[in-house]
Amino acid sequence: MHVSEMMRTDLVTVAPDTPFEKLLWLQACKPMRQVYVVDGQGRMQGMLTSYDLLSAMAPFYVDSNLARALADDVAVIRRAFEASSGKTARDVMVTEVLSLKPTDTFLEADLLIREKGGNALPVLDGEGRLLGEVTRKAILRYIALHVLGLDCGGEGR
Amino acid sequence: MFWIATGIFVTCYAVIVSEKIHKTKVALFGAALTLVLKVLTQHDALHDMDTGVDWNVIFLLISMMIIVNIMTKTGVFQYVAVKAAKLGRGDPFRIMAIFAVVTALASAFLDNVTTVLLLAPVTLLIAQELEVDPVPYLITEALASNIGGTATLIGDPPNIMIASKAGFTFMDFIYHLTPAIIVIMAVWMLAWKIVFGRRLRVREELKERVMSMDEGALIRDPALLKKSGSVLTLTILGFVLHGALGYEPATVALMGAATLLLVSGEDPHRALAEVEWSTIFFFIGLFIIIGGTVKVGLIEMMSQKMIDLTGPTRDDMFVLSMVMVWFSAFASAIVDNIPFVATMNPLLAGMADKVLGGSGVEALKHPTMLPVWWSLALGACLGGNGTAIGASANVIVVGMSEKAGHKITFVRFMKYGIPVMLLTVALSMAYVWLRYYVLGW
Repeated sequence: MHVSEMMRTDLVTVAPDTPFEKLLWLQACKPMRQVYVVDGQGRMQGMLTSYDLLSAMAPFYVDSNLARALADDVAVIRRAFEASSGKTARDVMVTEVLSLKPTDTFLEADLLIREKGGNALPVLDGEGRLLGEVTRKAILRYIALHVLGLDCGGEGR
Repeated sequence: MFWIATGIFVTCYAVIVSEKIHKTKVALFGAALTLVLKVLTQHDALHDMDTGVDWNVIFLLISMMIIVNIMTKTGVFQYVAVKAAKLGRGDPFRIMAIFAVVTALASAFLDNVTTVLLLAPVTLLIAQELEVDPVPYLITEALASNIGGTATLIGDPPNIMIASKAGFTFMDFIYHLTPAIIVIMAVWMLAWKIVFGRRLRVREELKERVMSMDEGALIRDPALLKKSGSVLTLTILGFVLHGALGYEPATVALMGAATLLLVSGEDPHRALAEVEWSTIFFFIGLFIIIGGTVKVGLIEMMSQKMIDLTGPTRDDMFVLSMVMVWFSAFASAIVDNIPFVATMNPLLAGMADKVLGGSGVEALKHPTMLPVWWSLALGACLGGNGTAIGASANVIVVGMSEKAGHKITFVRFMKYGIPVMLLTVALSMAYVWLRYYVLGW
């Protein structure tokens, strides 16, 4: 099966100059895990997840152990947010993103996700335009329901 | 063969200084060429005292890295840094001075890079909480790490190399260099008080952010801390006694690392994976390249040149000492002090051979030679403060500051570094002159 047959197309996309507060709202209030940054022609510039937003707000020099010494962690995060508030999607996004072609097989997608980690891979056409995404869940669903013939209506035995 | 070895030496040195290719790759390739082109045999490179790898330096470095890496997991260094900040009671200059002293002390026993890697993150946090510019604090720590590391045998790789070549013990450094460094630190802090005492200001309400930090929460593994603290203490005791007991420093360090690996229960794969192998192989490659230049007589030629220029005699090497402290300082400000000292060591040993007769310990540790070695150590270690590239600790601090959004330009670093370098090297020169040539101690 080709990824074009299993990809989802209802994606959240933003422009590179989308403000940080908007990105925070999208991640906090929308169900999507991936937000794709595209230019005016729909070409993917990068992607970001909640991990990238949290990384932008957590100073690299504070690790989990050092955080234990802080008396007011809420105040530290609030100050970190204020320091990040001038940032845009361009500043926060990950640009080195592995992608799939519509003609790639589900097995390629499956193995790539497993080798490189991450939750989803974007599907791009030859011009770099974003067509959809293939998630781990979609691959698992395909394997379970179509390859192994499991029935979602039963109790999983 | 002379020109092959010289060509390899000059080319590798030039590429390392240019920083166009990673220095470890250059050193290893140069070493491989030295062997393949038969400047040195493999036996010469791996086993010979004069031309081979100095395994004492290698195993001392590896062993101390293992000890420090395991200790880092306890959170003790973060604890010390936050505690130090609280001792300053939120006063910005007091915090800067206390951090400088803590950094210098830590650097005397750990390597400089590790010290700044451990303390700089807390410094950035403290600066963020106090809403002050972290740059003066970070640069001060880099400078302090280079100064403090000069005080002991294990504090800085150049000292380890000099000790191994000349046969100095840990206590030789305590006796000859530590007093100088204590004076240098005190004078520098006085100068820094004049420069920064009035410039650094913090709003009263922000001081509470630092004072409310709980450093006690930072110790993640009290049991491991007890074990690693005990092993480190015993290792330092071993360094103090190694001369009297007839052990090389690497033997003491290896015993410490092996003991800590055993009692800590740490996975050896992980503990060993965290050793800076890139640095270790840089040293190995460098020793082989320099060994090649020793073998073909280039170093002997250079040592004769040095004798012709500075006129050392059996009874007096004053001019050489004074030249050495400044030449080493300026060279170290520009190039990595490790290849510089790696070259100077056999050069000075060759000079001792010619002037004092013999290159054994008696010549290398002859009273007339001592101030020359100490001048080399002081100049090579303190000179690194001059520029942002003069020492690895400086490079680390500049990189971290930029990552935190505070770029330190080459010129900005020099505005701090050059005056401190000139002050500390001038004090070193005065110390060498006064102690060895006036008082004769």
